[in-house]
Amino acid sequence: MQRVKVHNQKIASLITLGTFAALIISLIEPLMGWVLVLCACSFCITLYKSIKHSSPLKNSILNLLAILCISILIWLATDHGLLKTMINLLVVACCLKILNLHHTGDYQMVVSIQLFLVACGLIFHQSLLNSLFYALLVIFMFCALHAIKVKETSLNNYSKHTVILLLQAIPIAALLFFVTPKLSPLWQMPINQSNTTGLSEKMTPGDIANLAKSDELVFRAEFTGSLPSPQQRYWRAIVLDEFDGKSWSISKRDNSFDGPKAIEFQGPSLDYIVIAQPTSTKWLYSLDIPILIRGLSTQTISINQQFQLTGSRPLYTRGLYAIKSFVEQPLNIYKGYENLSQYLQIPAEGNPDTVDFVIQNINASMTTQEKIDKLTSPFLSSDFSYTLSPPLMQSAPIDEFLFKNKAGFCSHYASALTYMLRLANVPARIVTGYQGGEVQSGNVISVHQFDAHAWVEAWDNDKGWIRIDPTAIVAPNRVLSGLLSMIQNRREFRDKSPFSLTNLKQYAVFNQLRLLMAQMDHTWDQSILSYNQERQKSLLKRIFGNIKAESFSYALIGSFVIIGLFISLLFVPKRKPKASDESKWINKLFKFFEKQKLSRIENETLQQFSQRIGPQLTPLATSSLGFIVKEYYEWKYTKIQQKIAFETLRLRLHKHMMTLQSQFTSK
Amino acid sequence: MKYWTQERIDKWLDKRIPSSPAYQMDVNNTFILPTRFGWAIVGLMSCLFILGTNYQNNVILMFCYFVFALLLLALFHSYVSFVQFHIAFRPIQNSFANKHVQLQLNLSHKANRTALHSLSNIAIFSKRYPVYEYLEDGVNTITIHQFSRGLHELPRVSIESIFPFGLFRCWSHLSVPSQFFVFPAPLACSLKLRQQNSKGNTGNKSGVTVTSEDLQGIRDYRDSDPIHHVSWKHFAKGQGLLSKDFSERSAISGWLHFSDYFNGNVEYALSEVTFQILELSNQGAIFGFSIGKQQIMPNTGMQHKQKCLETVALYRHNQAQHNICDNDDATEMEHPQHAKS
Repeated sequence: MQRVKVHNQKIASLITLGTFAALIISLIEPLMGWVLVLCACSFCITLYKSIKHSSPLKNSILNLLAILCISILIWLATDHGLLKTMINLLVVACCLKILNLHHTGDYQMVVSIQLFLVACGLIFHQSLLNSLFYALLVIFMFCALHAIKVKETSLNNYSKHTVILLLQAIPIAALLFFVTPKLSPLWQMPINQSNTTGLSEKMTPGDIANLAKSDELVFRAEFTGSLPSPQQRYWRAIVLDEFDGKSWSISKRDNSFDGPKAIEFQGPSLDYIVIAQPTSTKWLYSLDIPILIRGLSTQTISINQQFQLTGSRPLYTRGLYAIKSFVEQPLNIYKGYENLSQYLQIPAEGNPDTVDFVIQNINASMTTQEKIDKLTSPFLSSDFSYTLSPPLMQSAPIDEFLFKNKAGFCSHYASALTYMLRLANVPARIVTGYQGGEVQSGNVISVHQFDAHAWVEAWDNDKGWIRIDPTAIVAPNRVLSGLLSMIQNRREFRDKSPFSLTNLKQYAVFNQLRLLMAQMDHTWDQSILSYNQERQKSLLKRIFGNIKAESFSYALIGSFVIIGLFISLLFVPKRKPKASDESKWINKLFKFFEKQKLSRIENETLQQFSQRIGPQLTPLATSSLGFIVKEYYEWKYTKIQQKIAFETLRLRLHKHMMTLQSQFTSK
Repeated sequence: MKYWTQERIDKWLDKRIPSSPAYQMDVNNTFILPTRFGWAIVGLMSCLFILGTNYQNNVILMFCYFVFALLLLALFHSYVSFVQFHIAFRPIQNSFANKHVQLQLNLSHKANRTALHSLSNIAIFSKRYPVYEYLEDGVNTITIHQFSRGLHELPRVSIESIFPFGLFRCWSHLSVPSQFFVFPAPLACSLKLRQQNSKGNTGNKSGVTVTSEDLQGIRDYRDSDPIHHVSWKHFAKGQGLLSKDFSERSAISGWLHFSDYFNGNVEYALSEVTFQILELSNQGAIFGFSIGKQQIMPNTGMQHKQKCLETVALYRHNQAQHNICDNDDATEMEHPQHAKS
């Protein structure tokens, strides 16, 4: 079984094991618990086996194990969705195959599975750091592949060659990437059903507080003109209008109605593109009032009358869309078309103290603005505090919040105020989304999960929907400079996510580093992740001037020509290596003798030559030629060559050469 | 049908890669195709394209193009590293039926081979015999197989390399030009010598004397002395090569008759005769050999031994042919298992 013999086995198996472990760690999120246990077991067994060479496991046992695992996976498939099941299946296959790393085929199969797993990992994470991490893994995988089939040599040697080979592939890949026509999705793929954090369509006060503990990026917005002021940075996502006494949700009623035929927008507008991270919901983000300039390449986006941006399906990969927002336009454009009665819905009973409070303070003759002022006045008192970890409020949450605990997160305030407004016969709704964001490199705002926010919109007959943010009354800093501006919140945040880089914000060096990384990540987003058909067209337009069907084919043909040239550059047989100094010198010596009619017979070595012509020379010439031969051979064929450069030897030989020449000239 | 196609392929190969004692790998004698793993990676690449397109995931698409570029480069690297090799076969030594035939070849490579291709590993194997060995630079001895007696020609041997990454397989089928004899396996038996050949002719003008060997003394070794006359006892003591001097140098002489050994089984008898030829030659005896209608006049020395052994090897060779076929079937049975890799 020589054909399947594996060279450099130990290193190859350790590398394979290392990439396996790294892959599993990077894919830990979609993996089921028992699969992780299986991975850990097979990792330990393989590690033991690769250190101590042991006999292969029986295939029948492994096959039985595989059947068992597949049945479990099929059994659980409905709960986990197709994509997750697929990934688990691949990981299980890798686990079982890695146990028997003996033949070339085993390594090749494991690497194939691992390459596929890398692709699966890229479905979930595509940030620059992740991509680089996976690139590193791919290098190691090919290193293992290289190792098992090349001659036994040092790790250094073949890893260097692997890297060279892989680097040669990069220009070709990049060229193909930019030139190959981008296709629209061929068919619908299974969507990742993961419960990624994010806003949900049902809000129970306290939910957003959980979000605030995550520093995951939600989206980045890149502005072409000026940035919105901090007070304008309310990123609307979901409008909640139905209250059941505890939580808010989207009403089932049909919210669509005809709007006016032509809408005239007033005031300045902001142009920006949003690069949204994958989420499990369909809701997208924008400032008020959004107009869609360019939608996602994967799906259509619609804007409804509640000014919400909705995709046709959840965003399972990063998406880019362009928006124009009229930030100063009042939200009254649908005045007269909207059915406002649904925004007065309240549960039949519950929260009696709040009901009493509203009845005592509000009378029907007050204007909407007066009602709003009256109802927000309690928040002005210093009793209320803003906290990330409010106490649990269960039976009558609004009563408990308003009159007992007086401490809560934005969702508590928004919920209480909306409920009170509705009791006072003012149409009101809760808007959840994000508020604020971190400004990076001048024109980019990064919004993280901890920027999640909830605020209130109340209907005023003159102004339309007006935004009221009770949180801003209680904790104005929250709105002006973000959640982490408050020391107490910062401490709470640090307790919840101790490993977040955001914790190091106060140290200038780390903050610089963090901002630099964010900047690089954004550039990566912009240039690679959001490269789509349109960008490709504009790139080709820049090269060819116009966009016709032929330009694509020209570009393709051109790129193939470039690839051909590149490859020929790599493989054109190199000219014979330049003659080394010593061989030049020796050739000079032979030429000299040739002039004296003493030519060299083909392939004769210097020693043979000197022995042959020795008798024809004068004794002095013979002895100096002998010296040359002796010194040269000593230098060439012993370790002296590494110590002394030829240059020093030449000086010594030069003396003898002069003697030789003098002998011939005198003759 | 299978046989017919095989014949066509062989004919085509003979035209394409004519028999030669030395081969420089080049575009004319090199074949290249993806390995099974290579096809798997091609499949992976298509899956990546579908994944990347359907999820509109540019990183996966980039990965897909990277794999494509790698395949393309591997194709060229595979070929370029393969054509650096130069293989020179040495004539195959005659062998015995109980011994493996050994193929010797000299592997070298072009002087201006890049460091990248220097790790390329080349292996030799045969379709007919279970041989698979990696070659080293310089002289390699490859143990092929046991052959039945007769005059043989080695079928084409193949060399292959899957450098780099095992994505592509470069291979070539080379024909080894030399023929070689396989003699019957020697089988020990007692010596039966006749004074005369079947025609009653001694073939030895000096007459036949059969005397026992008497040790006379020790003298310096001469080149003509048989090696078993060397006194190893003295050699071991560091006294140099000394020969035991026997009183009668041509101790044994006579005629070896095949019919004396023949006892119903030809192959058995041939083995015994082979043993005797070897023994007699080792002892430096002058002997003639008679087998069937063939007569070899009494003589001694390497050439004589060779002539006798060749005659034995070829004796009624056509009848022995079916044995070879049996043997081939056996190897065909072994081969599929071997090729699993």
